[in-house]
Amino acid sequence: MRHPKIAVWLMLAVVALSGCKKFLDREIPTNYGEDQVFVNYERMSQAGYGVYAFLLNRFGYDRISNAMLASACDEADHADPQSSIQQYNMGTWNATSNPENYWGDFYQGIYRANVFLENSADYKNIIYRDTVDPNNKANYNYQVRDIEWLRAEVRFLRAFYYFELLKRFGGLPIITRSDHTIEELQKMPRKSFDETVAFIEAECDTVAPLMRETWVGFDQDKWRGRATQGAAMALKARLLLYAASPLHNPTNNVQKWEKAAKAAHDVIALNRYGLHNDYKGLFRLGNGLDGNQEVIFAQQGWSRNDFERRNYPIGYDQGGQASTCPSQNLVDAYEMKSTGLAITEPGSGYDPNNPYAGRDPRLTMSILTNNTTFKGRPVECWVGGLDGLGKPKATTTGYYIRKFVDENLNLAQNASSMHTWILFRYAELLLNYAEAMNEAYGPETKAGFSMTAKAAVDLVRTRPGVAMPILPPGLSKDEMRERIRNERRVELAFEEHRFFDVRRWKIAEQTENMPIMAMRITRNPDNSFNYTVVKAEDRVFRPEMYLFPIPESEIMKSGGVLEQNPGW
Amino acid sequence: MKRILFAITGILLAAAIIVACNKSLVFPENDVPLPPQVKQTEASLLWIGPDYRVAFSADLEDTAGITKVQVKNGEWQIDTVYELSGQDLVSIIDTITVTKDANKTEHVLELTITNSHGGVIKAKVVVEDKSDVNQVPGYDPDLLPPSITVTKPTVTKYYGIANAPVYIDVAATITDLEIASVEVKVYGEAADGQLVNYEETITPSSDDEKENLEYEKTFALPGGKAGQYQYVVRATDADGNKAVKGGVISVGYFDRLYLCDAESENELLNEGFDHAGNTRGIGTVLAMRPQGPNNFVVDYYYRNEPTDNIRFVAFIGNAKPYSSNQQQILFQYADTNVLAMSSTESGKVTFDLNAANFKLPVSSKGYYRIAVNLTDRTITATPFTPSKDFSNTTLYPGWSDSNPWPYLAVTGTVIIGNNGWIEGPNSPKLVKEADHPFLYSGTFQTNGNSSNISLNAPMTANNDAWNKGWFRLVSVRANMRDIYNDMITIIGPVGPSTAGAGWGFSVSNFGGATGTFKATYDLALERLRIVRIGD
Repeated sequence: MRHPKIAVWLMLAVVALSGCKKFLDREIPTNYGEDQVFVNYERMSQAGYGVYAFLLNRFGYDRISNAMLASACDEADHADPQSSIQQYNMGTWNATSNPENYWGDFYQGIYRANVFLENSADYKNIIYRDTVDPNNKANYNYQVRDIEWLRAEVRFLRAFYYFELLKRFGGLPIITRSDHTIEELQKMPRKSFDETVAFIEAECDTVAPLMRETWVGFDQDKWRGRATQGAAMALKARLLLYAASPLHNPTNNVQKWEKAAKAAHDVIALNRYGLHNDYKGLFRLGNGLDGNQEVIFAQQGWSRNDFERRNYPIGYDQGGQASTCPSQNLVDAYEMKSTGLAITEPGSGYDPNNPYAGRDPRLTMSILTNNTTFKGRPVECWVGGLDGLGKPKATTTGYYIRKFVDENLNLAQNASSMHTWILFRYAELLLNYAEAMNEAYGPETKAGFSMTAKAAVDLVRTRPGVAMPILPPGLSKDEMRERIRNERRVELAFEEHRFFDVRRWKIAEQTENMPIMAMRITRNPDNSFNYTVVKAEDRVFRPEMYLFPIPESEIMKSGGVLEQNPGW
Repeated sequence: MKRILFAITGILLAAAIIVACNKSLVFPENDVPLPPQVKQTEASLLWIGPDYRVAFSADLEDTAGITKVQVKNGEWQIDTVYELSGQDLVSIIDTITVTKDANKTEHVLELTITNSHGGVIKAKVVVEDKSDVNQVPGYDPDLLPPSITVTKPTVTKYYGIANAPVYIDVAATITDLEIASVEVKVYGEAADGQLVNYEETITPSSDDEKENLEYEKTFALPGGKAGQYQYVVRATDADGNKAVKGGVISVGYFDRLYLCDAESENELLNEGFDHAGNTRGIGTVLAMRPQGPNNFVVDYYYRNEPTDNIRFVAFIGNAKPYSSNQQQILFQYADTNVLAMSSTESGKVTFDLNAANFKLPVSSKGYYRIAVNLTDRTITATPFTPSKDFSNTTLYPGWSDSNPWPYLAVTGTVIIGNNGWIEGPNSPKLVKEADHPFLYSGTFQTNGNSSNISLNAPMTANNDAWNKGWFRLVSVRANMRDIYNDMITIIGPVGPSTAGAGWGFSVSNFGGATGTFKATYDLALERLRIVRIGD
């Protein structure tokens, strides 16, 4: 019962401080006025926890018109043609209509953070004044210490929200106060990309030492789920990786890669994190998964079954609501387990007539393929099968998503389970490190760190339960780059990395203009199957789409001070 | 008059405009521009020599003249435009190199044909797959890379504790139609920076060797220190196909580390064993939690007494301190994989037990998080305050910080002196140690049978003996695991006797012979430490 608490107080905090503040809006209707909030520990801390609330529904499950972000890149097709996610795929999104327009949302979170940080600055006096029993020094100390941590966490969250904006929009107006007038906000221009990176980086550096190493084992575990030092360090590592990537580092300044490598290694050197022994189970750990050594920071979730209702295959009881259908493009990225080779390579061992046999185990842990046993029967993705291509609301690609899905729910009885979304995990950190190391120093150079790029990738590949062959030694930097990119694609599938990775690598014009391919499966009289790849849908990506357009309303409100991204 | 003239002129102009407008709105009966006509199309996927190509042809007709034909295919990323000069009849024949399909794939070419009037039609051409046979007669390429079967090393993780080289064999069988060369490399770096780099290239000399080459050689890696190395066998055939096989060899990287605080080898051999569950966990050996490569931590209460004897036991792979049924202890007190704090180097651990002092690197008792780094061979002990909440009156009835329990009763029908399942007047007691606030120690004797032993809050503090203050198995046995997923017995506060797994622990079954045990329970860490000391 411990873990739902955090979600509950997140919700409470949202109610207590509910408001609607976009970048250039100032009025905030609240149940409590600010002068009524920062009067005691309880309300003040809830205001702080309320900043966590902006994590909810901005990451993860079916958050964009019931679709996952995976369906807006080459990982998947969203089966419902009416979903607004299709705007990304048809190229019809713009500055007035963006299916995932979080500009205002994240600035609301930033505003909340600023309100909390300003008004809780005098927290010691506030708590002291509210300490009814002067002898209750232990309580006072506890609350003071907690607000100190919370202030660091809120600064981390503010930095995280800035990063989420940065990776979508590029350089940003940096707002660290809540008392700007509308006129001041209207005159506030965007900082450059590098200036914004520097701000977020400095925030991470400042707050990391002020945060707890872990909340596990502290105060009966009741605070598990709050951000930790590792989360701030992992954010910095991810930030610097983005900053070093081709989209933002067109001259390939190697020093940026070196900084990114060091930041990632700083997390590795904590020796606090490792790889979970069950890749499939990792995404079903529920709240409290921060006790797992792989999870660095996660959005605490709640008990639900909407994800299963949408993503169970159509032939299952109450399943199939037209949702995330993994693409053949992604399926083809999973290598052969015995050889560690891509399926397109000679000698890989791939059999097109038995396409899912002998593949990287992460394929069937992440994607439901035809004839895989799921909830007691084989999934029938073949044409005419119970879950097959062509049925209304069935898969459009011949596959269903399996990652994150709770296979054990009885939807007919409305059973539900905890769904948590991992925001930072160690495998990503290792791959961040590998990518930066390869670009900075090459595939097999330690450069004074504890492992090479190759060793970091090999750790991920050989993780317990996956046990893929290590990469062949002697790869060139270019070859290693391709292997790392493929490893990210496979290991981090559906986790909201690919959409941004292809942009920061500046390869989206190739990958996102490729059609989404599907597997059309037909069953023979002897119950064997024929597999034919067909096109599911065309995709459109234009160069301006490397960055999101700033909402037109924001541009207009600024009177042009806020400069729109090129091409929009 | 001027006004009349203006009016007439205006009417005429209006009429002229109407006439002009009317003309533009009338389609001429015989001049409707027909869109381009697709007379014939064909497309095939061909395998020609080493390449795959799509060959297509299209016969197009348009009396308005064709100006442009665009051919597109997404998955092959074809986007070709043929600019034309307005011919009525157009035949396009072309081939485009494409990538080989991994799967049988249905490809479609999309044609967009534009005429001189801007009329556009689109057509789709299904590509017929004829790629199963090469179009070049007799073409029989060696498309496959050499086959490499690595037969050694069969062991890839070495303890490498002794300060002597670790010898590894690399052996491989390479086969191909014609092997051009084989390159073997063993390389890497010890944790202290010592480089290893062996490299050789073998060129097959005989025809037999060109088809089947056997390789075997022994290499020496640094011992006595941690290091990670790679071996590579790379083969190239006469057609340029390459294959690589290799792996990682680690020396001095351990997968498991355990803390053992048995004061003597005899204590180790007689440490607690929960007979009913075939599990340890109530003895002298604690699993340490891995935190990154070669780093392990454990929370521990350190007595800082003369009898301290703190050792660490390191294992590689699935090796562990016990047999698989946990009945047998598989290491000895002074085995080569046992290490302890160095007596000569501050903050270091050593496998040389003659140079060890078996203490922790602190000078006072207390709770510590012990971290051992087996790469640097270092040890740290960081104090911490256990955050145990004793306010739950079901778990800790009658407990207060100012008045903690004076003892825990050892209960169960196999306990000699105990009167039944709950505390009786002669029940043995684990008494609160005066110098160690959360430790309760004492001895008890069993009648030799294996059954259900519990610890109980003292009846003096607990007036509801059946429903409060029980210390038993905290969960069903299958759910009590150490960090390495091995089953262990964990004794903790469960409240009523029926809570937790509803069972107590047992001790070794001596077939009716009595057994005497000394026991210490750490209330803060919930650790029960039992050693059999006699009959």
